[in-house]
Amino acid sequence: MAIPFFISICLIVLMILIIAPKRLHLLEILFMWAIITYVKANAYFQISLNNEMLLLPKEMDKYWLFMFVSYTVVPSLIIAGQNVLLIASRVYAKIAIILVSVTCLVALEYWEIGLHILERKKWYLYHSMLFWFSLVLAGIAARGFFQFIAKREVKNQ
Amino acid sequence: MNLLPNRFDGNEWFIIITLVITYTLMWRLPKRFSSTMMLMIWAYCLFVSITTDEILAAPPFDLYDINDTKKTDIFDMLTWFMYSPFGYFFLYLYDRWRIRSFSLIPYVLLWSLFSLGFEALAAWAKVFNYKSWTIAYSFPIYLVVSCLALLYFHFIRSYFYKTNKG
Repeated sequence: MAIPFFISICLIVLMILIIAPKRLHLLEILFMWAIITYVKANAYFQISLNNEMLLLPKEMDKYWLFMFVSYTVVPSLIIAGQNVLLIASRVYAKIAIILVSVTCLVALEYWEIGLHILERKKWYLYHSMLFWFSLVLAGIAARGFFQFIAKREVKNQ
Repeated sequence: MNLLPNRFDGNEWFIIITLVITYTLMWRLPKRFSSTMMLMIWAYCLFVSITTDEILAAPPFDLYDINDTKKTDIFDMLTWFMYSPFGYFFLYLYDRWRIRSFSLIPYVLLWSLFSLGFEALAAWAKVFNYKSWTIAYSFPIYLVVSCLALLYFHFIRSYFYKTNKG
């Protein structure tokens, strides 16, 4: 019962994030998605394969659920955070949005751990916070890089 | 956290040489797409390569290892950058030679065969160490990925022109 509930919540969150009005350009979103996926996959390889701090699921159903969350819900949450970040003008508001994004991602991961989708070995809250904070920063960096390239292109035209 | 390879040998050299040659060629070719388009093509190839390898090479499937061990090092991270220039060349020639309708089939088939040949070379250099995987399985994957690349290319190009006009 817990896993279908988790899937349903993930799907509802995903639908809301897809439907919600966006300030980001579609190409910008796709680029951020690719970069977040690259950074996240490499970080998971380090965490699970190399250091065995957080083990990925071995059962097929849980594995595909993890992949679904990892490839759709996580990037959507980060991109949604970036979208809200564009609306905020004050520095405090921007910091608050980043912290809310990180909290949502940490909560999502702890939910996965609670459902035994992920198995925690030497993975503590500060690891988790640092990991998701880095990923949010990677998203910001990816958007910054895309905008830099796009602006330079417009300038040269 | 050790990111360095166990031994610095053939596979590491193969990755470095491939990256240097392909990225140099990518930048030296006459410009055909805008920088944003190039970036989007590069990101697509990176996304596809990491997704495929995450599913196939990592547990629970664990069908092959990338580079020296089942663990990841800095050269595994660089391996995923190897695919992007090939994706770019594929779309560059597709656009330059204006390949349409039935000529698309031999074009995709030839590129898939070329990719298979390059993968065989990489496997010979021990970049890929197969366990339950054989190189023949890669052929349908290349066919699917090539077709998806063409669809993606048409989508981003039309979107790009549409938004630029607006």
